[in-house]
Amino acid sequence: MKELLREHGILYLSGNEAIARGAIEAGVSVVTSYPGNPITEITETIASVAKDLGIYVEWSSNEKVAIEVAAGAAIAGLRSMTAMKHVGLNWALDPLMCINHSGVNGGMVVVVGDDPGSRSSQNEMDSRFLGLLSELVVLEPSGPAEAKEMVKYGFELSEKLKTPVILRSVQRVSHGYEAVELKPIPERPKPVAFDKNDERFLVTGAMARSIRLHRMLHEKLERAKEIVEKLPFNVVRKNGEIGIITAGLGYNIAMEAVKLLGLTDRVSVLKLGASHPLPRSLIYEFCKDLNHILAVEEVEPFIELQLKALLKDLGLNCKVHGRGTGALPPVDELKVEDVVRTLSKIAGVDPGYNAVVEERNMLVESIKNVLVSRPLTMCPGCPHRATFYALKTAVVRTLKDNVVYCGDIGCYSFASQPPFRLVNVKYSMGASIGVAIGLSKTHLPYKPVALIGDSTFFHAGIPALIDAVYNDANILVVILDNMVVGMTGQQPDPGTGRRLTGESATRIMLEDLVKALGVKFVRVADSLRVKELQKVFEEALSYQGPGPAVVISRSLCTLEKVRQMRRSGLSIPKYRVIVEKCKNCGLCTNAFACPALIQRENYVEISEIECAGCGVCAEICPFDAIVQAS
Amino acid sequence: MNILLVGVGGQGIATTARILANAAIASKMMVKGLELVGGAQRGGTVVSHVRIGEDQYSPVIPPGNADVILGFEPLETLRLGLQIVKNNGLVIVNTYIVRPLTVVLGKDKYPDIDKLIAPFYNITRNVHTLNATTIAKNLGAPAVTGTVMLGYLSAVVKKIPYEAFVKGIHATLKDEKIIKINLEALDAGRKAAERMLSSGDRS
Repeated sequence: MKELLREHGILYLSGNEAIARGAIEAGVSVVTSYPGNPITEITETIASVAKDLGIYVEWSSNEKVAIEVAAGAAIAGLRSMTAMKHVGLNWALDPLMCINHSGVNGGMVVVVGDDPGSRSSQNEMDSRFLGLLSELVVLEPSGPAEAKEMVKYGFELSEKLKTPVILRSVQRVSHGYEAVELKPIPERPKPVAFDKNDERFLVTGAMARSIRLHRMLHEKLERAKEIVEKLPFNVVRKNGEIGIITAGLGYNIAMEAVKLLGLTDRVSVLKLGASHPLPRSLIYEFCKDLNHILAVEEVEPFIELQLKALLKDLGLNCKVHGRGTGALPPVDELKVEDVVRTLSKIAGVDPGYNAVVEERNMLVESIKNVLVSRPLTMCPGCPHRATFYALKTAVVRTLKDNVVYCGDIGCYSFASQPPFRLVNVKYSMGASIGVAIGLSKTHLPYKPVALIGDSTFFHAGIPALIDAVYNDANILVVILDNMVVGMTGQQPDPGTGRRLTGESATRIMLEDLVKALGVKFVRVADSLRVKELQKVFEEALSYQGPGPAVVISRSLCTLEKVRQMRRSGLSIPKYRVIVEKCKNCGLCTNAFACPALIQRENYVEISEIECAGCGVCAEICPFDAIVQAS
Repeated sequence: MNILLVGVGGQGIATTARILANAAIASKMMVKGLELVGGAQRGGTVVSHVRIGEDQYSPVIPPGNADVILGFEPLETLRLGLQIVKNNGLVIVNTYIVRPLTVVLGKDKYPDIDKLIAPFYNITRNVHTLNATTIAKNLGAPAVTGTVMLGYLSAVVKKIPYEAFVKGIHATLKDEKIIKINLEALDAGRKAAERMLSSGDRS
């Protein structure tokens, strides 16, 4: 039996797996998502048992659509969950700001995964503020076991309040692991008849309807303020005079710091199950005889700012310190040693831990030169490498490098690395095309080139390409089509002909789509046939309009290709260098830079383990020194 | 007990961490941890934290708090282990080298392994080197490198009994053939440790 279908026992689960399991134990019916670190695995976990349990689960084309799909199900009285990373919630915010007005029938949990430290994101931000903006409850789990229970509680709360509930995770919770107890799995409920005359779901400003709905939302928030006083996830430890207020991962970081400093008796800790809204009475009772509070949270002073206002309202003189006052670092992931440093200052103790950290930092600094860096790179055989090689060669030949490159989100953002250095500007999903349009309207001498992936294009690039056609922008758009959502783990997208749960899907052909949008110059080429691709780029770069030129460089992601080949029992072709013919010219190692190429004394060798058999090095070698190994 | 597993993607670190955690669960111990596998497919560092016992809060082992470093690759072991290992903690380094891109391209030289291990002696004398990947390859499966290291660990640190690791393997892996070879790897690692303990030579 699949592990996740068991109804008792203990499993070592990640936060993502635990959140999925929580939704399963809550009888969720519909789950929607777009891949994004740190929350991708939630939906993949659900998908692994979706057919067994009768759950509908989809990769949506983007997070805005994902939340709308989930809302549709929740209106019909089914429990629905949508999961996205923090920048994904930015996309979903527009519909969320109406779904909060109408509320829901079936419980709806919006899971958002933040990335403090921006390890795998384009920016660093704290999406809890979007909970404040949308006036919804924000639950913050401190670890996987609590996350599972919070998801179930979140559905109940959502149905009690008749609003969506936000569950906010972070990297270390989503990818943290804990032993989690499995509970029974209920039957999926049937949808309720949707009362089409229910005025709630017509969110419009006309006839002051949205004002009424907004007022109702405020009333719900007032009810939520009473409910959060008694959350089963609140923890009060009243011991000493040093006050700590925290939520989510912050609780575990704070408690670890307290333990390391031996301060358990001198510290009072209030752990909040929800970081919005704050529980007024609980906070009054906790703070009334304390002079100073340290707010420990990720990543902005969200609780800290609310607390300051609330304490003033309550007439308490308690001072609040935290990431906003400089007591804790203002940016980046919060570390245990940061809290230790601050607490030891507040408490006036120094049991030596700070010295250990200092000593280690100095030791690490002293051996810095020994530590050769290990940068992330495109995999051997990656078709993007071939595309960049062909594009750079074409640009140097035709435009002598008078190009500005606008990059986007995905594996192809590695174009910014040497030897290619093909990204000058990069923002968020789909921004490459819009920025390129803007640059093209400035009459600067550079030709703007937008680099965007297939999944990113489906997600966010279409409106921008429409703009380029409609507003006649002379830009080149390169769609790097590796036929998967690459960076997040090779998930299928609308161009692959496959859905999350394995069924075949209508395959949306990018070239048909692009032509239908009115683009006059459209070419499709095999990424790995670099000599031909280079000619296509040269032609595209000299296209002067009308409108943009689009080149679709297509080849299946190597990781996916190798996986499929192994599954079918096919052997992966390997390439080898004929040493006698190799002139050590450096083209393959320096200009192409595949990690499978090993630079020896005066020749190049191909690593058999690493080589993925793309054959591009063989095609570009000027001396025909590389051949397929038999 | 805090154990850090560190190396390069593809070495089986995440699976080994899971076997270790399941071994702890089988011994009725509390366990929590963390995995950072984002760089795994693209030649980057992979690290897992496993924290066994009561009163463990942060899933990340704080600096200077790791009782054991299981180093799957020497460069990454130094990069991440030096900060986290406890004074007098145990460091087990697998001597198998995985070259970073810059080295492969001839832009950097992979450092002398001695230079990668020596800095640990500022903190602890318990530094062991082990050719776990070679042992695994001799069993026909380089993928079981981590299990070899667990077998070695079980003989050097008695906190988790050998049988618990056996249960951990059964709880983590499903395929009968894969379980069998992992059990062989566990035994091979233990034997390597016993040889070391009797000879007194930590390499």
